[in-house]
Amino acid sequence: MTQTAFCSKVSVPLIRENLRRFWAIPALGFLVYFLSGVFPILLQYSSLNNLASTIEDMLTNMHPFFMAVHIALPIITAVMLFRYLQGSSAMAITHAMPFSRMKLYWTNVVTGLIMSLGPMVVTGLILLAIKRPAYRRYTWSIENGIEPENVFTAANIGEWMFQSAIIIVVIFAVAVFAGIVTGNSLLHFIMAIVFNFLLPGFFAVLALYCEQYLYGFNTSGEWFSFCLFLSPWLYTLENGGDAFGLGAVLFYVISFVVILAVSAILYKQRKLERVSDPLVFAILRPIIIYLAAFFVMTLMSFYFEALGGGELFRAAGYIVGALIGFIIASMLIYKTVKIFNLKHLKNLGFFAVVMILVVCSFSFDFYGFEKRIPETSKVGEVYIGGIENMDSTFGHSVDLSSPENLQNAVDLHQFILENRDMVDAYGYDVFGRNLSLTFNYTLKNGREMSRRYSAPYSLLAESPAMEKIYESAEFKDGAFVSQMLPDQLKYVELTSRYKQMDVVILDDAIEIRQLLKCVQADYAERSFDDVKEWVRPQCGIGFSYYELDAAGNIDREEERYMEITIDKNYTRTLAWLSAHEEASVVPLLPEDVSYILVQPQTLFEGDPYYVYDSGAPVVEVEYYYGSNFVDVKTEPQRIDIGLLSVEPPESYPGAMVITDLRDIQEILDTGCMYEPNMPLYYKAVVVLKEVEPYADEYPETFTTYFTEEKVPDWIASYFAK
Amino acid sequence: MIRVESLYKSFDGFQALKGLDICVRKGSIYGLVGTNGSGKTTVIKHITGVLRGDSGSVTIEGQPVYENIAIKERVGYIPDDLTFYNPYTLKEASVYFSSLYKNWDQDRYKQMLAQFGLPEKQRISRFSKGMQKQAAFILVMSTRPDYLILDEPIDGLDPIIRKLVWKYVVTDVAEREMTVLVSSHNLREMEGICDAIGILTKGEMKIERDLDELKADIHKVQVAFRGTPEKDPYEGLAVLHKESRGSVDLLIIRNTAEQVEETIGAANPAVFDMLPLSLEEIFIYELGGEGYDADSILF
Repeated sequence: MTQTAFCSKVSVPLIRENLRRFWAIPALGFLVYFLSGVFPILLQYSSLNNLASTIEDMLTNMHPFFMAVHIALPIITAVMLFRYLQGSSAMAITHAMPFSRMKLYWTNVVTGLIMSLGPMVVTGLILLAIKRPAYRRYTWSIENGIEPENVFTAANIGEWMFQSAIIIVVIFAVAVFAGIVTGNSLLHFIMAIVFNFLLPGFFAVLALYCEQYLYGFNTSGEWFSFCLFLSPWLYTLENGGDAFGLGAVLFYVISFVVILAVSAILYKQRKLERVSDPLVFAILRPIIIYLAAFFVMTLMSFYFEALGGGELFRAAGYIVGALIGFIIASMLIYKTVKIFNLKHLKNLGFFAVVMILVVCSFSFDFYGFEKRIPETSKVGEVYIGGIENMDSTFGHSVDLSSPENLQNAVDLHQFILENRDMVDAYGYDVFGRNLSLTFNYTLKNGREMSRRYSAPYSLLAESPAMEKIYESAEFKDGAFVSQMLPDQLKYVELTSRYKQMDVVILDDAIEIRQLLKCVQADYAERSFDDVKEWVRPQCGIGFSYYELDAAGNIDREEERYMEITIDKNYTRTLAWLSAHEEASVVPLLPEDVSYILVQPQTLFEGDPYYVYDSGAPVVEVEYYYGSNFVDVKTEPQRIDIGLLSVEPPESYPGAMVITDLRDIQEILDTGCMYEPNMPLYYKAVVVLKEVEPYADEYPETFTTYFTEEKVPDWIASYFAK
Repeated sequence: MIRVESLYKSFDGFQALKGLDICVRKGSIYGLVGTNGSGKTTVIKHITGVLRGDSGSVTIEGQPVYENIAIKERVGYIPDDLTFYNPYTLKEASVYFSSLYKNWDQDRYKQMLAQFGLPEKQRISRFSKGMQKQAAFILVMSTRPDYLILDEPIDGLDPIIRKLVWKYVVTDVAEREMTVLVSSHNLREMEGICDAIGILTKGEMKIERDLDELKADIHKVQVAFRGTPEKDPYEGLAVLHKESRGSVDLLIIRNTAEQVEETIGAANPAVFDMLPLSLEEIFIYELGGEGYDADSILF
């Protein structure tokens, strides 16, 4: 654009005048950038490595002050520059001056961009001038000998400037739009903030409704990212400071252009006589009122549900919130308290009808969302997130693409839907533990479909499809432990779960290869029944290894560390450990145990599931919420771990004292890690011969559990007497 | 020439202007008067290009004013509300105005500044209301406008300053044929300065006339008869107002002086005086039935 063309579209005198009047705003913005970013660097200029993490935060927009300026400066700039639209005198005189509306508009936009971007650009130029190496060292990189990274580079500064510019201009454009549609400065300021977060907020609330009503709706992952993506400011925070991708950049640039263009059109149409009206364009009034009512209605539904729970309370929250939000918003928008008339009643009625339809459409799943399972023939691959948590020793998940596993995944999905009632009933799960499973389907037509369910472990353990997936070669082969080549290994660490001992490091190449082979063989043979036992881990094995590069060669620059725990079913591995002196001390053996106390856990009298007392003395127990006394209840005396000694007692009230090594071995091998959620189960407190560090009188202990079905007969019969 | 033709404007269903016609001849001073809420400020905002009418036209020298930068450069506007100037000092405002208006006259600005005696470096928000008007006047007049639009310009000004203001206005009209449209409620002052008058009521032009013609067509007459006349002595006259005090009738008649003399003279009155009407009185009588209790205002 030539200078003449530029001057015909904008007024240079007005730009100068705006800068003269409002210079303090960008000056303040620059001051914040400088004092919070540049100044600390100058203070520590001789030893910048100490400031490397702060510099990295600054240049990835993770610095709170920088992000605060990025959002505050363009909004305040827009409010001040377009303030002339919000006052009768300024509006009249300014538009009587030799300007066209478009000249006024674009001049103020250009001025605003100068004021909003200027401080950031100047800060960036200063950073470029003063940059020198600042190396960021992570603890894990130190341990693994990885070279530290210089975070204070021209490239990083340039990227920060570019990303910040995008954030600032989008926020400014939205703030300008807010100024064009509002009629007073206060509302302009408020709506500038609201509009910048309206879309993400709206989609987030929509997602909440979907999650509330649509069984299987997955709010995490793509939905969450999508909501935040709509605002570059939020997306930066969610992205952890990573650079915007090309798609994001294009989206934001186009948004910036479109918003400014729409604002220009609206400015031309704006009726200046509406100065001081909250909203200048009449069509926006019901929209804003409805949005306000919608958000308040949603909030109140949460509040009411927290009060009492259930559909009735939630419905009450909807009604109360809709009324409050609608009334207050109407009063503010129409600048009168007299909104209790037929016209507004009709608007409220319309809103109520729409909301009822929306809620009902979710509640009754008009969209067929809940029952929708893709046909196996149309699925390209599926990733089941959360399945890794089934196996307590080691968990992983892979993309499943074999026809068998695609069918198994669909069957598992179907199984969950068919057992929805059991999934919803908290009391069903034996162990009170739910597993969150996410089905991420990639269909053959390129589309994706995601569902998330929370299901009890014990229910999933009954699923034939889950068993088939777990025991399939595709699944097993996808585990890192299956894929690892012996040559990748650097060293192995063995850690005891229970004994106070140093980590045992194995670095002999032959030994660690042998161990790896045992682990791989045990894992390959590991059955789903083994998984379902949920027996306690024997020890942990950590593999330090080198990654493979793209060509499949070992890359000694890239080191990784992964850990697997092994239980009694890793027979080859345990045999190898016991055969090697250094490693044999790691797993817990019966000889390491002093004694075990076993006690049935029964619910106390007065509980709806009261069974019977175990013969343990009955005591009164005070219950507190924080430091506030709640209640005192009468219940069987539980094992008090804090009062146990290393030496086995002769007896213990209400509990069985076990010292026989074979009995100890059986309990260690068959006890479950997780506490059952049942009226009657058995708790076994294992007391080791070791004592806690720094507390000689307290022994090391851990607890294992048995259900009525799994408890050894000799224990059950003891308490049946 | 400023011409407004068939201008309609409504605000949220309220018809503020109803087919308004105004014609301000070049080099004349046109007084726009009307009751409160009659639409004076609204029509002024159309003439200055601030508002856009629903229909009709507003032109200056045949060109539409709205969005016309070339015309706006030659129009000076002083509204009633001057808070726009609050953030400025006179010096800052003068620099700004000088950059916008090609005809800015710095010498005139200095001269007026000295004459009005306003501090140049003090923020205008700290001026009194009268001083703010003076400041606005200085700035606008220094742009040497060809068209000057004033909305309640002399409210809050002391008599000396008022005289100074009108002196500048009249001088520019005489020397440069500046065209002036002024809206004010100070009808006495307007009477001494305006060439033409437009009386606005409820968005419509009630009367638009040269002031001399207007005065020539409406008279206050005091009449007394010996006894009761046989027939109505005022028949055929446009009597706007009649009041009897004993045998003396006081009338406001909208006819030419000759018609009045001829008609009433034919009834042989004992007393017949034709008195001049002020613009204020004309305004009151013309709009007397327009929602005001005129009788309670007069005499």
